[in-house]
Amino acid sequence: MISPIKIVIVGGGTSGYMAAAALTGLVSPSLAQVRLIESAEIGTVGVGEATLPHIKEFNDSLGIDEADFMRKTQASFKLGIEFRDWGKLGNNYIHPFGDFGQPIAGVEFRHFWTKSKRLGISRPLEVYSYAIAAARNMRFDFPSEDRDSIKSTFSYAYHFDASLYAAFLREFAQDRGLSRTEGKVIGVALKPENGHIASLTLQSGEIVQGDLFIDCSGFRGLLIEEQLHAGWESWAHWLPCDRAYAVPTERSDDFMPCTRSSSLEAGWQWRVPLQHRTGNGYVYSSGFINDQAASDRLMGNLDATAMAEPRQVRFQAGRRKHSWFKNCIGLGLASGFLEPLESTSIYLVQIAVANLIQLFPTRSMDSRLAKEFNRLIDVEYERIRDFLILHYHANQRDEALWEYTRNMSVPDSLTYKIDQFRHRGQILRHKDGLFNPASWLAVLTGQDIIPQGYDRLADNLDESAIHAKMDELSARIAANVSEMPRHDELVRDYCFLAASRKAESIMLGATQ
Amino acid sequence: MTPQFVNKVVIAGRDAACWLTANALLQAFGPTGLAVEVVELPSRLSPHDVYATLPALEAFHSMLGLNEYEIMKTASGAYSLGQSFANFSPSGPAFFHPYGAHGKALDRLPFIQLWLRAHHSGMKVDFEDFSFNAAAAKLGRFFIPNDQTDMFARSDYAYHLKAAPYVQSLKSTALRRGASVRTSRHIEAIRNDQTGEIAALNLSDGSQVSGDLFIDATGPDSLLLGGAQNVGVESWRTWFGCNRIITASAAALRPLPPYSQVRALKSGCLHIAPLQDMTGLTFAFDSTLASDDEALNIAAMASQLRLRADAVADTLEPGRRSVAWAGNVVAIGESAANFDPIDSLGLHAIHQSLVHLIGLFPVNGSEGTERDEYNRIMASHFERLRDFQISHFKLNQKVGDAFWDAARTEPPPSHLAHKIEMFKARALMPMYDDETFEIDSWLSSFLGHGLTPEAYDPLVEMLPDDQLIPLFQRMLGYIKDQVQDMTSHDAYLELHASKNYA
Amino acid sequence: MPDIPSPIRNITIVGGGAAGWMSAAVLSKVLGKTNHKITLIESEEIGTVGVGEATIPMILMFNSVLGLDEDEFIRETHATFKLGIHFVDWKAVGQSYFHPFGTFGVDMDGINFMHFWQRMARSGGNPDYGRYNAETMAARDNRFGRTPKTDLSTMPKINYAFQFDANLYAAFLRRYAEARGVIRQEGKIVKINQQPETGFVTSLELDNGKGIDGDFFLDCSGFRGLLIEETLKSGYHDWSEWLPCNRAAAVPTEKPEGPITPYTRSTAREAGWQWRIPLQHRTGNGYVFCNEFISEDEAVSKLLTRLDARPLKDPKVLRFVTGHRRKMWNKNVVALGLASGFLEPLESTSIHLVQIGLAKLLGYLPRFINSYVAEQYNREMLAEYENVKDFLIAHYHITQREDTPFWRHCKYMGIPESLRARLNIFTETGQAAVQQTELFKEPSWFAILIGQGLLPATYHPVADTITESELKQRLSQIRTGVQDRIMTLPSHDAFIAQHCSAMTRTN
Repeated sequence: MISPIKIVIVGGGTSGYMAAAALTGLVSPSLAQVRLIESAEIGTVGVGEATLPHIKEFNDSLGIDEADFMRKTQASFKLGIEFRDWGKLGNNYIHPFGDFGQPIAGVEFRHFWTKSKRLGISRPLEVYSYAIAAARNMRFDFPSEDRDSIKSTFSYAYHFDASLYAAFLREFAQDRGLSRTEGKVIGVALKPENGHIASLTLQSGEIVQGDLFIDCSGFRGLLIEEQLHAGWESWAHWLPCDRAYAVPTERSDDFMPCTRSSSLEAGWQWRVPLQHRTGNGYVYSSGFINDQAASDRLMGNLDATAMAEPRQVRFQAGRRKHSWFKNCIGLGLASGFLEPLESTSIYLVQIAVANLIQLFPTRSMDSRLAKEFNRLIDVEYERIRDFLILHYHANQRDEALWEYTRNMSVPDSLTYKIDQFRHRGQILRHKDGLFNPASWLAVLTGQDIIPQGYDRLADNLDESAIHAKMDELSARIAANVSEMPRHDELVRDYCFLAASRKAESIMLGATQ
Repeated sequence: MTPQFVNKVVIAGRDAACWLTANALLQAFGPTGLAVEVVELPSRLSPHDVYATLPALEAFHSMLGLNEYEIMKTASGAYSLGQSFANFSPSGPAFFHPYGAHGKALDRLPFIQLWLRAHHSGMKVDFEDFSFNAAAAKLGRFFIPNDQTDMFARSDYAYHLKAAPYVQSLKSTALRRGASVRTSRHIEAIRNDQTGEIAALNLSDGSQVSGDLFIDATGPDSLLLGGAQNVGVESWRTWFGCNRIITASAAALRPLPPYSQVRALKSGCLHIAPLQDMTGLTFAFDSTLASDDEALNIAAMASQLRLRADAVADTLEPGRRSVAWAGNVVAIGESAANFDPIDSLGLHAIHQSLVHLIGLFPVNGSEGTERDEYNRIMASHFERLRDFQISHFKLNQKVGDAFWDAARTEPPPSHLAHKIEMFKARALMPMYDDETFEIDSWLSSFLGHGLTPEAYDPLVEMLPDDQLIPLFQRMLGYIKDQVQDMTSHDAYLELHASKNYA
Repeated sequence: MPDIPSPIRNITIVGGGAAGWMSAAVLSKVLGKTNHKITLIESEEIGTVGVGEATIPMILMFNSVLGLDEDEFIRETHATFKLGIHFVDWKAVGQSYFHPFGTFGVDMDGINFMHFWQRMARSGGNPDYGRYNAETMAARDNRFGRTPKTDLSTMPKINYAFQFDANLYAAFLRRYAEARGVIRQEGKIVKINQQPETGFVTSLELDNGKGIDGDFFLDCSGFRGLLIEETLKSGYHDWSEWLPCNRAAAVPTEKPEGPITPYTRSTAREAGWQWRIPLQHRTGNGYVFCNEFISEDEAVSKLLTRLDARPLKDPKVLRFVTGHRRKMWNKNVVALGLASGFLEPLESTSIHLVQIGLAKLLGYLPRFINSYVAEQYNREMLAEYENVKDFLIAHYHITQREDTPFWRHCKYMGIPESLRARLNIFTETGQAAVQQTELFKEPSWFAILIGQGLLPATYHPVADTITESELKQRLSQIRTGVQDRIMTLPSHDAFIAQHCSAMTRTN
């Protein structure tokens, strides 16, 4: 038997507790003893959090009951992100968690759409997306498992209260043996022979030893940066936003199953609807607007009464040069920051945690595991980075920030992707990392990059047959959407309906 | 119909590359009015030449509308469930690289990790014994994968096809589909110096063929891409010691093995591919270590087969053109990348090239957008294939043989180096974009060549000891039961794909 | 009938006691307090029928929905473990049998084990089928232990339920429910307001002047059925032609000397039967009888002479009529517990019928409630009652006793057609013809029917398809598994002492 590895997590925000939940839920205590140290003083950046569909896999892998989780985190469903005024004023598009159309005769749908556009029959791309149609009508239902059904062409994520999610996972992890200590880290001892972290000293005087340290301390990187100097790579020249004001408002009638991102003069404003309130914020670049103006702008843009004073956070886009360095892993903001424009923060934590489980170390701390871990994380960061830059770069707005981002030089990998798409709707597919072709399609076309050509295979089909199929598809989407439940009603009932059904079947002895 | 940028494609070349391309382009774009004209150069095939394939070819054939059993009949084909690698280590036994997966994962734990743990605690059963393909192959059985076998683990199969009748059959299908063909002994490209593109080809009868897009299927000579477009070769010689190749044949093996064999010899590798009515031998070797005559003797001795007097020798130059598409010339087959015979990649490389050419068929203008993407993807495909081949040479244990010592000490390309490093750590297998061989193939090769992981995933310890052995016993029992119910390779062929079956 | 307002947000429970607090606990746990208001009205004055209560293993499912810590639950309710029921003098005076939770042997070749047992018994083997059941053997030895979830061995698992103090159980669930937001209103209901057109109950008025309104009401007021009967006149279907007992005298006794038995005992008496339910601190006893065959006074004095320890109180006599409410769900009222019907506790089904009612109710809440749903609920609940009823009648009807007028009546009375059909099939084929949805499964019917002396004429022919030696081999393997399991179990007393003794103070 291997003796259990001692894992010390520093920081108790969402990332700390996601790591704790996964490590206690998926790894037996005979292999890992997990301890989490958090300081109530420091507090966490708990805002309305928007996620990607992958989060469901994370929860499912831990055996978390969806309705229970949604009830306890005040969650709502999310079918995508609505982008307002991005690209140019008046634009409105949705990046859906779902396909546009279905392939016809083995050819991707977008090529038929491009062809019909060139023939002058232009219907918006979004009428072919089930997820968008549902979102626009404020409806939601669960995807069908029947692969042939139009209702199977989407997935979904959640909006939830990040602090409640952390609390939910804390309970989960503590039930499974997480030992949690409240306290502040005031000292760190390194091993002289290799510079690994040997132990932490808490304010109480306790010395906490560990084999692996997971740094969830936020932007500052208490261990990974302040102690181990893993290095920082700034991407601020591509993603110039460096501050945000966040404020919760009372819940409003607008309960669209979408995150909303509205482009503003010096950044963008988010809106995340939860069951009990709505999260709002203005992400901006301090080089293009001052704090007071940004705060005023946000408060003037709310659609319901604010429940608190706006709170400021500061950051810089970029990533840690080594996410796993020596015997320390930076997680969440400690490993890098990408603005929440595409709701990738939790995803990045999740993928890092999943990779850690895949590459689970023993006490001997094989450095090769770190090498592979970092390779995988770097791919994730770079893919997301390009996608975010696209939102800023492809614009026709005339404010200073937008002129800057339009004219800045972007990574070659992004220029290449844009050229490929513009020329003939080609979208690169990769084995690892976000985003899938439908996402690129949504944002590229949403910001007015329209393919000039299309796959010649689309010419194999008779034009009238193509139009018949496309019309049938949009009609089928509209008909199905009209029968979906309303999002607000479904959320309200689902959270306890499912619990009722489950209790029923247990009490009748139908399931164990 | 929308006017198209490319109205006519000219394919210049020979053999499988030429005729697979004609079929693929006509099948894809014939209905859109694409004209395909083939300038056929004299075949380089010998009557005994064999195309050994990889499993994906079946899907390609069905995309092209080709009937599997018809092809098997015409080309005296045999099935292949994998490859046996012998003699790559002086002490180790032969190992089997199955076209399929091994064992069944449990919870989130990959089978390799379960196996490693059992192996560490003394279990003697080999990794390959958990493969349907390997178990069936060893008993001379053949099966078409079905739901039952897939539930346990993915299985696949490939073919050995007699080259000349296979090409003949592809040619007649292409002609039926509307390809026009002219034969020529040689060709000469007429280049538009302003655009750098090829305008037309001069044929040996003095006539000229013009077109919008030219396919170079001329083989290693790469007459259009390498010649007219002057695209250079990135040689892979540093990793591949063999620079010469002899092909020969012998009588058919009975019973007919449903797999091919590779044997490491002092001066190279001998490949044996069984067909219904003969056996194809390919010996790739280092000409500084053996003359052609010596090589032939070595092949005969090592194979213990009575070789027919039909041997042919040729040079072998592994490497790829720095780009596969330049101007309006796309190279398909050996004109783009020339592989060592190990792992039987020839037809597969053609297949991959054609799939991407169809996917990136130029839509307008000559901006080269498709060309850039095609070249990026194909370079990546070719290199991942090459890496798998290098693994066999890099990991050999024939210490003391100069040829093999050199192969073993040569530093591998970076992607392969990373794979080897991660495998050594604990059987991790990083996978990249555009890989043909799946994780299990890599594991099979690395383990088979004797590379031993230093550890296994500690999470496997969560499984109680007393569950592991019964789990393995159940898997082995299941494989055994299934394989016993399968028909023999001979019987299967006789029933479905034999010329002699009434 | 017009639809009940949907969705339901305001639920009022009338009556505490086990049924009321079970309802409050599970609804508060499952529905949460964000969107629902749950109120329970009870009056200390009225009090509850608090006797030693025995249960069946399905209660573990109820507890798991509540997420209870089992040891804590046992400590708080002074509970003991129950492996089954020991039936004494039912078949004939001087004979007894055990109805265990769990199965006999293992089913083989697609048929029930008891067919193989019959083949063996008919060819002269040892007819004691208890040896093939782990609960029976553990009960004989007063042993108990839980089977760990991680136990993957082939030894049979131990199935169990509890015997607890019903008052303590109600109190325990009350703490649980109140912690989850249930509002308890002390008071006696003096007025019930209905909507004039529909007759729906809209609000209740208490003697303290308070008014309580609700969308939906659960009537847990006991036999009288304050809402379901006194207000809504749902009607009662009397089953006493088959189950004539209509009185029970109950008395608690001190904890007797000797081990606490991990089972309930039911002893047939001249005009009914006597229960004995051991708890950690005392024993519940009672005589269920029919006043047409024995007077209340005589029954009480007989009971007092048949106790194995000193009584702690004077016996209390309860009166009832076996049967069920014709509509258990009427308009916006659902009756649970005694308000919905009464079946004597011979097979410990009272708590379970509340559990089933709540489960089905949860399946419909909080939306989609209309008259069709109510009708469906009533059909399903009636089927549950009918199944239990037939099972109970079988105990009385299949007997060799003719020593008293009561038993002669039972033996020669007519029985429901459904039971008649089942007994015929059993006599002819040895199969109990149990449907998937029935509570009592094949092993229970076997235990009772064979225990009461009804031996089938034949057994399933498949049981003859193995050789004699293979049969012996298999049976001895099963007995070995049972033996091995028993050896792993501590005594019932020791188990309680170690894990969940009510005498231990926990902080």
